[in-house]
Amino acid sequence: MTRLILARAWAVVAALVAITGVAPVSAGQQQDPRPSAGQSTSVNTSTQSIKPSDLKSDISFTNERLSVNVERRSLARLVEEISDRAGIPVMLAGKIPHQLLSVKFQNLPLDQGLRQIFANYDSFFFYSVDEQGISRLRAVWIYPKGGGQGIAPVPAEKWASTNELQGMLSDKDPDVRGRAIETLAERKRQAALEAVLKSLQDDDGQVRVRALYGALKADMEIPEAVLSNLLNDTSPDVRLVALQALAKSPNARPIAERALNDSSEAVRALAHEIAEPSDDTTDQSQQLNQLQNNQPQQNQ
Amino acid sequence: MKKHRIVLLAVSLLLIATGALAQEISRLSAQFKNFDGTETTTAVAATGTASVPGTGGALAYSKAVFVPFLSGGQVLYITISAVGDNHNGESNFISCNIDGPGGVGSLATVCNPTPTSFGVDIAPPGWIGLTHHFSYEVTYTSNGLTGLSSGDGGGGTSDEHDNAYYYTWCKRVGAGAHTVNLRLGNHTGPTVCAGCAGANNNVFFEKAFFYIDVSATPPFGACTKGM
Repeated sequence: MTRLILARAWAVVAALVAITGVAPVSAGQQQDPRPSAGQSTSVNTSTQSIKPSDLKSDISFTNERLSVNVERRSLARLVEEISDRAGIPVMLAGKIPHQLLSVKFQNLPLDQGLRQIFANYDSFFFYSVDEQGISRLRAVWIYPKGGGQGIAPVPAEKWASTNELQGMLSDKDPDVRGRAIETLAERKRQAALEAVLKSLQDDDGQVRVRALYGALKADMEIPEAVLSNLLNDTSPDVRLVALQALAKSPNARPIAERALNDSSEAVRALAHEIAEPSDDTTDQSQQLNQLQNNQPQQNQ
Repeated sequence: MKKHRIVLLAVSLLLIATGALAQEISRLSAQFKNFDGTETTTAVAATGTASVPGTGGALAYSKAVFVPFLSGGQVLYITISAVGDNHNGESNFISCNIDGPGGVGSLATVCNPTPTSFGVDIAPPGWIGLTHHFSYEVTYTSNGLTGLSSGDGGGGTSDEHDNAYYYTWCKRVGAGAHTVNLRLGNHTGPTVCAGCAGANNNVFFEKAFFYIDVSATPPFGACTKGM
């Protein structure tokens, strides 16, 4: 599993344009941070094909501070050593030319130190918020200069295996659960029925509606009794999607009539459409006026 | 297992090449109306102000959809494709709103991106002027004024019935249930000018298709103002 994850990470290529909707990532060249007073920093690179020197190797990570003092160290080895000491993955992606670096700085915050080292490369820094509410650096990707253009981070459900998605169904984050069940329904279709039915009982309305919407998109057959019961769901989104799923039922009209007084305007609009189907020979303005003036009642 | 590899397992995302930078557009709804000789019509004037745009007129189309959760947010695209007629040279105005209370527009719900004063199309804030026609007369009537003969924009006396009109709005929305409303309105209201040909000031559309689409927020223009 570990090698598979690492292999996937190493398989990253191409360029990033916009990163949205995912944990914040800062990309591209960062402004060189000013060193603290009394600390000297220098990063020298060399592309000469000279064997790396073993004269000095001093890398430490203490109290969330990075200190580096190396001479003519290969980039790959430097990255590995920093990664081991700091406990975060730093990945070289793309075709990075072999370079020897001489780096010297002391007691810099980890991300600041890394940005100094990789000032001449494209880079992606991934931060996430831990349980204490603190944003921490979690992973770094390094690309050749200009090689980071056109890359976008992709959520797990886009590349995770089906087994991995099954595991996400019990994640504490409802967004993760919701995305997982929607993707599972899309992939497994009717074979995901059991998982969908279970997700329809989730405490979070977002999970329930994503399960139902995923099932609707995948043209899954959900028992009519289940859908009818969902018309009483506390979430208007769930009620809307359930009503839409029932639209093809032979009993659609009487079911929709029950929803004509729903507290949600969207549900009432769909209920009107189903219960009073548009007939070009009827007075449509009357239907629309009725929709406009309909007084909602409290949904139970 | 080294610590950093354990951390990497918890990093539940992957950077991947995006050969196509544009977002996929998903069609949520495709509907039609008035293909049997009927028309959607009204003689109620379009109204609106910069603070309360998209009022007046009559509700002409309403559709509830569920907007799915998409990475980075959602942009809705609302399209009407139809044929329009106008009586007595009335302007044929259309207004779009998303979740307008009772189907009526408001500052937060109209699809027009910014409320403005009456535009070059003389449409009130929140409205779009899709067609504007003239009668088959030597002198013609337009928007309550009779005896006109100089044409519109230098085009002279002409008649432009049954022009196709096609318009697409974009609007950023949250995921969840939404109601898309289109309102139809004219310029003058129902009062017919003295000597005007025709018995009413109605505006119409018929043989209409309505499309409601959604995409994740596009990377180069998130339904934002262009140059």
